[in-house]
Amino acid sequence: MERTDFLFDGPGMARSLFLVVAMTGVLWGLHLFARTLDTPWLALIWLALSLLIARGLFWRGRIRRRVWLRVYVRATSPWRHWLRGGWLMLLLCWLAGLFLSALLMLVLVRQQQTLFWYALLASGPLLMALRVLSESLLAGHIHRGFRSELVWTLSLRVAALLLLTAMVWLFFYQPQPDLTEASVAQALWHFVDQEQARSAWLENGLQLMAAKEGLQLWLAQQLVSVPGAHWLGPLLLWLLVFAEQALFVGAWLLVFNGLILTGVRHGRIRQHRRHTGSSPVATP
Amino acid sequence: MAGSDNTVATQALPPSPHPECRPMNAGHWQGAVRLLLALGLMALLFWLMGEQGQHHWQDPQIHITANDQHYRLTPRELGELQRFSRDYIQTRSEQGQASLAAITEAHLDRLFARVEGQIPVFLDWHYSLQGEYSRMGMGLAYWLGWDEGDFVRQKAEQVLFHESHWEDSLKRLESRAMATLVREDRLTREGWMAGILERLAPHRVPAPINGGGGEDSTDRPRLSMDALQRDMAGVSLLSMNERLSLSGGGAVAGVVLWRGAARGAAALGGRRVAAQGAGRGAARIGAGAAGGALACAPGGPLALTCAVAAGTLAWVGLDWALLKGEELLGRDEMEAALQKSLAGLRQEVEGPLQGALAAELQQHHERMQQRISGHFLPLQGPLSDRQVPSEGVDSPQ
Repeated sequence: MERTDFLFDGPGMARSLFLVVAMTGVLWGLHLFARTLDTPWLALIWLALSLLIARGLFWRGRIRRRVWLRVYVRATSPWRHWLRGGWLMLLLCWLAGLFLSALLMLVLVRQQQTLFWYALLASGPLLMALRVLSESLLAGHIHRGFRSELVWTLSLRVAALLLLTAMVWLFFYQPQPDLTEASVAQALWHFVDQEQARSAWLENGLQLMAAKEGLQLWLAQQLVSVPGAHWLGPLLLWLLVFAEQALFVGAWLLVFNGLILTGVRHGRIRQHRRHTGSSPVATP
Repeated sequence: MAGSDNTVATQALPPSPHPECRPMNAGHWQGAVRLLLALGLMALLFWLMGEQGQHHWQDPQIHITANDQHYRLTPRELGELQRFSRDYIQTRSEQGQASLAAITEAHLDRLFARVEGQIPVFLDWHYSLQGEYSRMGMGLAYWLGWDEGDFVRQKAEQVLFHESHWEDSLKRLESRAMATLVREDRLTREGWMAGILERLAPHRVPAPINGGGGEDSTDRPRLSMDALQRDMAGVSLLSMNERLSLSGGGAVAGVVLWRGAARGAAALGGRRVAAQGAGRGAARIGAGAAGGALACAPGGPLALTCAVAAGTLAWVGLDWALLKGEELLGRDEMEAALQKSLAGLRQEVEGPLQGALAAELQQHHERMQQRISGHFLPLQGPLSDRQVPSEGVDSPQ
């Protein structure tokens, strides 16, 4: 394994670590004050998060597309230019970013468990460690150009799996109301009524999420008492919890993805300037 | 892949030298500082996450319970409820006063018709020999200082008021007024509650889930219409107890007031009656003596007896003739005076009685309004304050 081909260096890693911890702090601040913020401020935060997610997705999407083009399309074909990933890919990435960042904000605002935030705080350093580990494992085997994407994919997936396990475990220990005697309207109202925010848009979103949680809990608790279907309730509940938490964990780590990508690139550009006195010209 | 013309930025960058082969430069120091900063920030966040709770935003809705149902209202809607309550109670108060006035008027019509029906009875007595000699006897008692000289007025009170069951009738009137007040009070509270429930219906929400950690964790302002209704019922009972003292006063006051009103009525004053009796007595003595002397002039042992009998007969006959003459001349005038005094009495009884009942009803409704405001206003007061965020109201779990 050639250590000189390593994608990361010490200062860059420290910078990335600082960025992910700082971003965790910013998002925790969002959790603290989101309910008291006006809609324009929330929209601004939403937009910023969506762009951050879209940036990471777009960068990695372009790398994957380039590899695919080199394998399947001749070098002289104009398809290489057309399919390289342009505005359409950027738009799709941004739409995905909008959806994921909206979900991320809603979950972050609703979550009150301290352990949940401890897990999120630990997720940034975990992701960094996994990236270094993946890089050290892949450096001797994978081409440098594609390795950055593969390192991201591996580290994100492993971090997501660990974080998802933690989230589901936390959900399991979260106290839940007894809805066995309640009507569906009571259950929905009970959850919806807890969610209040200054911004009507945020309040609607929070109440929608709360209604979904109320409905899935009510269904799960009702199905437990149905003969022959007592296993269906918990299964349905855990599937829904798993899906929601998977989306949330994905959104959370993709924010780090967009953020660390920026940090890595800026750090490496500065490093290049120190060596050559000029900046690199090619961008993904 | 590497070395193509479509190289990514990372490929364009020169490979970094191995960290162990390089001396500590500015970049490494910067990295170390960043690492320390990152670790310090992590520690700070770890501590803060355990200490700080989310800042909540409390919307200004009010939780209302009524008849085991739950409702949510904005301050503006609560203000509309209060305005409805004020207008409704005011309207019911006016209707109740009109109803009480009608009942009182009808009852007094019947009562005074009975009292006026007793006027001929009194006049018959007044212009009878029995009445005449009673007055004469009481006049003598007055002259001797044994009586206060208001025998005729006492007789008039007895005939007009006692025999027409004045006090009992007034008590019945006040009982009816009381019953009307109680009914009005009940109808007012029931109608008010029905109106409130009708206006609350569009704002109904499901009942909160109790137990099992499902209690409503919000600190919304709360208002129980059931408690308010119980409070208002308590006000009603208190008012009814206070109103019981109104009864006896009116009945007794009726006769006293009549004495004042009848002060101008002719022939009822003791001194005047005594003077008339004395005048007629002188004539009677003269007529009796002349009659006895004339009838028993032949004399004999029975002359004295004959004279006494003839004198008495002449006395009584003359008395009767004088009474009939006086009745012929003064009965209509006396009847008119009595009717006038009764009309004055009615004004003096009906006005204050209706005023007292109306005032009592008005006061009762004002107490109801105060109770409603007492429950509503504290909720409306801090509502504007509730729009500011409550800092750190919830501690993290």
